[in-house]
Amino acid sequence: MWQLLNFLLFILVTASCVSMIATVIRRRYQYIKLGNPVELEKEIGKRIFTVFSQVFGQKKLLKDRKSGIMHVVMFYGFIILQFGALDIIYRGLSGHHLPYPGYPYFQFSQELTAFLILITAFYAFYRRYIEKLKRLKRGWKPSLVLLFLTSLMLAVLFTLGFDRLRTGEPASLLAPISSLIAGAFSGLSVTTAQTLYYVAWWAHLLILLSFALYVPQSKHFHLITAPINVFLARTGPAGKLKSIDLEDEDAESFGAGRIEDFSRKQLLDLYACVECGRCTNMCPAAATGKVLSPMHLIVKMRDHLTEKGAAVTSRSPWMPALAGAGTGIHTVQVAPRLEGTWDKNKAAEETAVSGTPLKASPNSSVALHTPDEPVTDIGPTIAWHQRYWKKSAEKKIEDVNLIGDVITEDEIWACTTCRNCEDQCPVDNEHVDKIIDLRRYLVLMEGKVPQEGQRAMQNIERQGNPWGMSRNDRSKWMEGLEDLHVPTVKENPDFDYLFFVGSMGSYDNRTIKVTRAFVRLLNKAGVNFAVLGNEEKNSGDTPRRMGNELLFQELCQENIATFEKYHVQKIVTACPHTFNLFKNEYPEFGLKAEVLHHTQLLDQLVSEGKLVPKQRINERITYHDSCYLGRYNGVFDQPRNVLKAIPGLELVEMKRSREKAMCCGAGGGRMWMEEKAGKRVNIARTEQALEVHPGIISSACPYCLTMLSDGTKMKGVDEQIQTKDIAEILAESVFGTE
Amino acid sequence: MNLLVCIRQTFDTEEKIVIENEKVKDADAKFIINPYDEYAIEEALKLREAQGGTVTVVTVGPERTESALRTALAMGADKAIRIDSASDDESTIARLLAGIAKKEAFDLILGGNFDVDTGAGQVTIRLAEELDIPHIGAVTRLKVENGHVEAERDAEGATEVVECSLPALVTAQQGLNEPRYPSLPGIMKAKRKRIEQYNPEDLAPGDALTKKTKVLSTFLPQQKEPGRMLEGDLDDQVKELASILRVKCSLV
Repeated sequence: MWQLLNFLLFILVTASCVSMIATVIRRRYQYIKLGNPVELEKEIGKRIFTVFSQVFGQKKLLKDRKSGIMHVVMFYGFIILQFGALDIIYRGLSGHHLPYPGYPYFQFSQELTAFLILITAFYAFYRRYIEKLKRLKRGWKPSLVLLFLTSLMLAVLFTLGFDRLRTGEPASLLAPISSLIAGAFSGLSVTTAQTLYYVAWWAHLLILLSFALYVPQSKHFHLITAPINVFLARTGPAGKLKSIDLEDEDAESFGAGRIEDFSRKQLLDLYACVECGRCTNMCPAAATGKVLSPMHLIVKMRDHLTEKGAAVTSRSPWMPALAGAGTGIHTVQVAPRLEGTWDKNKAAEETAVSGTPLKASPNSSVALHTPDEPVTDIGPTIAWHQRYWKKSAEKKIEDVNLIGDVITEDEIWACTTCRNCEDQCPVDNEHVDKIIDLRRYLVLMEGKVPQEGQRAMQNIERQGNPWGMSRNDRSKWMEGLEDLHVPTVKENPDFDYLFFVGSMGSYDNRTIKVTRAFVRLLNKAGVNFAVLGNEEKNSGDTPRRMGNELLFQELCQENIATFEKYHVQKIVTACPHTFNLFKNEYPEFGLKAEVLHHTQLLDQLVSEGKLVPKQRINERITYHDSCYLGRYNGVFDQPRNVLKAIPGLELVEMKRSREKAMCCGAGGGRMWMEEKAGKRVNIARTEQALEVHPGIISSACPYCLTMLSDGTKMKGVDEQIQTKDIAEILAESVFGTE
Repeated sequence: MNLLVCIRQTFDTEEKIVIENEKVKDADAKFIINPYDEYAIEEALKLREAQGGTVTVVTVGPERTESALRTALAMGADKAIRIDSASDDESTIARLLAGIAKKEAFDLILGGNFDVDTGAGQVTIRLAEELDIPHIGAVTRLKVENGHVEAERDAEGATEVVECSLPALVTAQQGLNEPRYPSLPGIMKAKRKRIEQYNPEDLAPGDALTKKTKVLSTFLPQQKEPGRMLEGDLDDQVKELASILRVKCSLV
């Protein structure tokens, strides 16, 4: 009788829960479907491989060792415990175990796993509330999952323990915890033991089901969405932007001005986010007091999508209804300040007005120019979002603008497109292309661009360079080269390599020196090359990353036409932005050429013995990775190889180098825009370099070089510490001080 | 409000000037809207956005100048007119523009303070004269309300506040606004818009169009000599400087 009643009750509860779970998932799927359909590259093999390395291998999670190991235990623990959960449920219903082979060992695995998960849950609590990692949100919500986990594990162990008690099974070393529990309760009557068993069994079931219902309605939805998101992630070159079809006469809008303007894959990203904050932790903007925080970018858009989706589909995302208690619509409650989020005085003022202090660590909201100012600090920016991303009852979802009310223009323009966030994201979210889509909307639809950025683009449009200097002066750097031989494509039509000098390399006085050093090395190594001279134009990186797809595509097509005219087969450039664009984004428009960065060619020439660095340079040197060379294209070793080949040089690595290297602050068009908010990124990066006490800070990008040399000037150390391009240092060693 | 903006296409400010056969070579030059005229367009668009009406842009120039009109349309102007003439005589241009201005009742006419290439700034003022309406030049702030104009203008370091009533003409000075970047749909729409075209004869009798100015010769400024560092004793340097000033520069 009891067995039947128990079974019916089980069916009723489980069925209603499962149906609710299915509903909340389906509704979120419907919200995602509001986005634009996407065509994904097929490449199934590559996708499966990524799932293996990132889901099962937890590769990106392990970038943070401590949290990573914790997550590995949780991840595999959860998989292992599913078998146990089935067994527990089956036994409660039928009175028998599932026929797992080697059952005692299976039971041992269950108890051990449950124990380990309990420990990791405590460790998670420790990381969040005691160690207080800045990237993690505090408050009651994130602790909910720990409560679920702990109680679920306890329910598992107690169910097993009481089962042992009621059946009178003898204690076993292979079931240590349940034996202990049974031992502790020994002496109870069989009926009491039976009752306790069913209480624990039901507690286990109910906790399990409510956790399962909580998962899709919280950030823990990632249990389901993350593996899918990883599987569907971009397979092409890192950070490659999707082109806009400008010929499409029916297109009413370009870029993303509404949440529905994003693709469904981009919207899936939002639900895959688990708010671990690893992105924000590495973001150069968030770390220097800009309002932009990649995690909040995602989270805010997710909240907005859920609210808008609920309104558009007239289906509530919350079940049972009280789950989403507290009505209202999320918006950013204040306009960001020009000075950004770092400001002690202002923070104090706001505290005085509202009575609640900013929830940042004590030393986080430091005034800008105090000597004890930290190198970087994400605290104030995180606090800003926690404070101002709030629900208000009077707002209507129809009146909420994606740009302005959800994501502010300050956030959109603060991004340096460095991809450090994407590199960190364990669920493979793609933050940067969302920012570019928002920029595209602002630029293409509204003509809204920060003043200096607009001027740079207008100059590129008119003269092919961001300063608007005469396009007929592009080849001026070639004047007075004396014994150096720099033929144009007309003078040397049978060249092997086209050296694409780039706007910085042609016009910027500092970068011209790099250009000349490189040309000198090419001469020495006997490389057959040519330059375009005044026929060269801006590569289009600045316009593209700033969202001006129209100008980019014009430049791209013009440049490709020029390349075709001179039968260009191989291109070498000293600019990582140009390199990335030509290599990864021009082919879509018809470029067929092998593209090299100058450090790749130099590394090759040195290893072939065509360039021999013989002069000793007795210096301690550090190398700053350019984002577009490193994270975008995986070129980490070649520049270092060149440095290592130079006798006397002692290469020291910064704390953040290679994949983790912090941006100099100039990418994504930031080079041409003023940086008023917070601390300057280039100063922070220079300070990071200074930590390893170098005599030379080297780089392989004209933007980085400018930013770091400005950084050393601003820190007043430019007399002692040189900033140089790899090509310059190599030239010094190859030619000596002739 | 019915707004007319007079614009001119000029060389890009960074363009190299090459003289060929006594004329400035413009074969492969980049052309832009005269930056001061761009402020005028922006101001007109702002006024229209605030108060309604139409913005008409007009230019006097050869066919290539249509790209300037297209840019203005892309920025948001409603109508564009080109008067097909290559004249560079300010009196002639002003009279041609007057021909357009008289066709419709414009409340406010705007133009740039001066042209960045020729440095000329008579056209708009002459136009106001032709139309017999008040004009305010080099405006840095403009307020138009109920037929009344209040403008701040640059006056050699000071600011003058000038008032007049509509119809009137104002010329834009740097600082009046920041011209917008044309939107992509704006650019696409502008490509399809028709540009009205007039011949000079349609607008003014032939004798009114006689040139009042004549270009005598065209030449580039003299090449700047490279600077020279004086070296040696301070006394010697002073002496040398004095002699240079006396002999070479015929000063003192």
